[in-house]
Amino acid sequence: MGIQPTAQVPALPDGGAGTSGGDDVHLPRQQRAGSRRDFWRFLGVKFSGAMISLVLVLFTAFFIFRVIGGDPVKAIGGDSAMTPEQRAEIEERLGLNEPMSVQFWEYIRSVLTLDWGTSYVNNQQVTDLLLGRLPNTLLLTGTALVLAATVGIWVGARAGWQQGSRFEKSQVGISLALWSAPTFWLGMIVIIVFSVQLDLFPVNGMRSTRGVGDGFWPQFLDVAHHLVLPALTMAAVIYAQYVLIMRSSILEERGNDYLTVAKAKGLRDDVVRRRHAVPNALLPTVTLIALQFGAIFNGALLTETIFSWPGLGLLFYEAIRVPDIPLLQLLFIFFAGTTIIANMLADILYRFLDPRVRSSA
Amino acid sequence: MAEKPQRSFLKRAAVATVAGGVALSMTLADGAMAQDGGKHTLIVGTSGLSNIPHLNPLDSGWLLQGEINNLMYTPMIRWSQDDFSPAPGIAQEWESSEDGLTWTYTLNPDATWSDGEPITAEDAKFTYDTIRDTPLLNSRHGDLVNNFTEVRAEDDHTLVIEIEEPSAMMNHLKGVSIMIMPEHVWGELDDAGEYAGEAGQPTSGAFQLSEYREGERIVLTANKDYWEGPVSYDEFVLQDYQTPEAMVQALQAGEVDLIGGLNPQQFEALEARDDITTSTGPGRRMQSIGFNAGAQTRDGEEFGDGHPALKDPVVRRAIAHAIDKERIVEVAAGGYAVPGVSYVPPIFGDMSWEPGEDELIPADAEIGNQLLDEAGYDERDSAGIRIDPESGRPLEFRLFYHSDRPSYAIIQDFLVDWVAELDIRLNAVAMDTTPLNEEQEAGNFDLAFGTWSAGPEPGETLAYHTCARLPETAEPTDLTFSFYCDEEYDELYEAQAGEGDLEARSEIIREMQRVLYEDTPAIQLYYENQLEAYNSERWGGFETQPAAEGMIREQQGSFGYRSATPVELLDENGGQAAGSGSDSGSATPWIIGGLVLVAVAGGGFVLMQRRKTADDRE
Repeated sequence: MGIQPTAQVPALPDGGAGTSGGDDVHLPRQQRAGSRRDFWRFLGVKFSGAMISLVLVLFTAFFIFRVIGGDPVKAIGGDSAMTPEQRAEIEERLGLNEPMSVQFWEYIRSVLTLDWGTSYVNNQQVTDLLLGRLPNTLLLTGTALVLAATVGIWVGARAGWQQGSRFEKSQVGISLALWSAPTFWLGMIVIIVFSVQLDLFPVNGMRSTRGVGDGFWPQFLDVAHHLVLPALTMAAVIYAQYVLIMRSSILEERGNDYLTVAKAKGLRDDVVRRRHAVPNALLPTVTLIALQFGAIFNGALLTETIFSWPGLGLLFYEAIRVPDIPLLQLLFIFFAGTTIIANMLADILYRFLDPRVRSSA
Repeated sequence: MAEKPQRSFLKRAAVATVAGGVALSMTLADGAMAQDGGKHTLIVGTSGLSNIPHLNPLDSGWLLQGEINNLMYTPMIRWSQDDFSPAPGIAQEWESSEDGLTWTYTLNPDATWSDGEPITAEDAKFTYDTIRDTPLLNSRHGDLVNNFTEVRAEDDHTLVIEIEEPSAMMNHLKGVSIMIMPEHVWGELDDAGEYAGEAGQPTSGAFQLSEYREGERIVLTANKDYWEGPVSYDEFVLQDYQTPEAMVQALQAGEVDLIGGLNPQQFEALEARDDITTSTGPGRRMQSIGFNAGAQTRDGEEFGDGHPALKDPVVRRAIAHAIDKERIVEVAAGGYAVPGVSYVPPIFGDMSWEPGEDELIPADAEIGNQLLDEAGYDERDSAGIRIDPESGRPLEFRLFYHSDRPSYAIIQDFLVDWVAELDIRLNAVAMDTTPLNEEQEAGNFDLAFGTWSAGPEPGETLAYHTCARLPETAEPTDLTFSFYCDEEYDELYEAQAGEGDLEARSEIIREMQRVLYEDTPAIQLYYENQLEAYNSERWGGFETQPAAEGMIREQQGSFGYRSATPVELLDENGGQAAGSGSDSGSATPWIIGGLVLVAVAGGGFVLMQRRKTADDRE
């Protein structure tokens, strides 16, 4: 399923983009034209595959939130006493008294016209709600991903290079420990230590409760200050994937002749690693980044909830408590859709990066 | 060799980033303190702001929405701070004709909107007419306004309402649930039902809206010319937190000033701190066990799968005898609760009923066993469980409880043991809230936990036990409690609804509670205390409702928020000085934090340096 709320589930390349492939990297000249045709066929296959997934997602989105149950009328009526008249009025307004078939056709119509409807709770267009929260999510998950990828690749490359060293053992241990840590637990520990005890960062939210004035820079710094803990927490949980993948691909490169040649030229060990080994070992990591690109849009349900970060994950969490079905439907389709598209792009990108995939496709 | 400058640049950048981060933290925190020094802002932490659909004061179903309404608007008639009895708001006084069909309200001539316009009887007439004619608002307040035959403004300050049937509600006009709206602004709206709250709108209360960030934060600015006297600070902020823990941490970190809805553990942890003062008082929320007293339609068609023996009040009452409420208060609520009686909590004064000595159902399984024996439940099956003589089924009941409520899990353990003393077996079943509600509404249960927050108008809660609330067809419903239906009770309900005299009405209301207590469609376990805490280095002076040992938050009014006073002003006025009022204490962790980070960064730098030389040696 497309949703990866916390992005802590490792998104591994699917079968189509596996690293196994033909041995012969160099194609004979006469095969070039054929390979272009192959490429278009490959694109067609990937695209139609993505479309089929998307259609399945569209159908699932209608049923899944009606199956989980819950009574939106209660959430809208409030926590005080309700009269029969009021209940009837709300049901009528939301169309909940319509039979399921009518609701389904309404849904199909809304999908085809791209009019996703209004939220049960506050009558706003659900697309506006999504667009309003999207930048916040992109800021958090984007920062976390960049952090995780840069630190992960750096640590992974060094760890792989110095196989058997204390550095490798400790770094692999640390990243695995963080990967296994539940996000909500890690988040709470981080808050207690850095916000409550050390008083270095705000407890949660995206802006200061007491306000910082209207200027751009105070606002910018305020958001940056609030971003530190959630972004670090999220990055800490996902960076292990980069460490492990980078480490193992560096290990694969280590024995190769070209590295021995580079060393024989008299290059320093560091330079051999950075200039020669790392670029060749980056390939699987690039795929991982491309795949996780979809996760950027999905937000981070747990991180956002723990830190009250007003992004899409938190919006989803709030909507599911109602349940606010129009909003849930749109978010579900958006999450799944961006993941499907990112996966498709990763497949295509991989073909360009790795000639072996081209020949085997 | 070209590598070297680049590498040391990276290292310098890393150190600079760490140092910059620390500096940023410090500057921002200093900035926040300075900012706070100029202007007094009361920041209240809450959860559930995302539940609130909008800020239309005439379509408000959430307690939290009610709190905001009360800050921005003054009701016609308020609930008094002492005991929730009707008290003057915009209306100074009111009286009814002999026949109870004509009510005259005299408005306070000093009352003004925040834009300076006077609040007149025309505004009130406009509001009631709007509610009557707007379907959304009518569905919420039809119980009051659909009884009006005529509303007229005799003059600027005299409002006369003619009604069809005598109504007890005329004594309070639904209290804080209906606020009067300014005709000179609302007259322009196309659909009053779609008003969602707009910054800068004229209000009749102590504040007006200046920012509404849905699900995140609400900012209100004090009306400096509020006709009942302005508050002693400038701004009120309601800040949302996703979890109670986050709220507690924010209070400790000084990010919020007042929080409520704590559990006993959080409350006691905060109690130990010098900079924080805790406050507790009996609240309005009750926890109860509801019986399936026989799910049926209004025509008597039975549905659901409830145990038939529970239709017999004797069985329900016997179970009530087995329950030691005092003990439950101790184990499940940490002592911060009051043992329950009926659906109107004791804070509502005259409206609440207390059993006399001969009416009390004491915790005594002996009496329960005796009742069951006398009523013919004296045969037992091979397992020693009593048998229902009518259906022949053993008295074995399901007890549904919500899996996400730790206190229920504790209580059910006790209940199973206690009820076993009656030779009745309870099978406790933990369920998610949604399926639990669904089963309960469909009548597919025997006993189930439940919670309810009663308002100061007892009729709203007591209506849930009338026969009229049973469903028309065998469909699930959440409009009845226990599917209870009793003719005597219904007659009393009708009588109180039309009783214009407060005292006479409260007598009927108490009698209804007595009937419920005796018939036991539900057992009220306890009324929860409100557990609150505030930053007493910044704030003090909070008044509660009820005035003696009541609550600060979740009032039916705004007494707590309006009385809040910054500590500096409390000192000036010779009030009780709370805390030291300085922030010097918080500097230490800053310095420690800074030192730790610098040490880590420095250590890292040295390590990298050493590795580099090692590499070079290679």
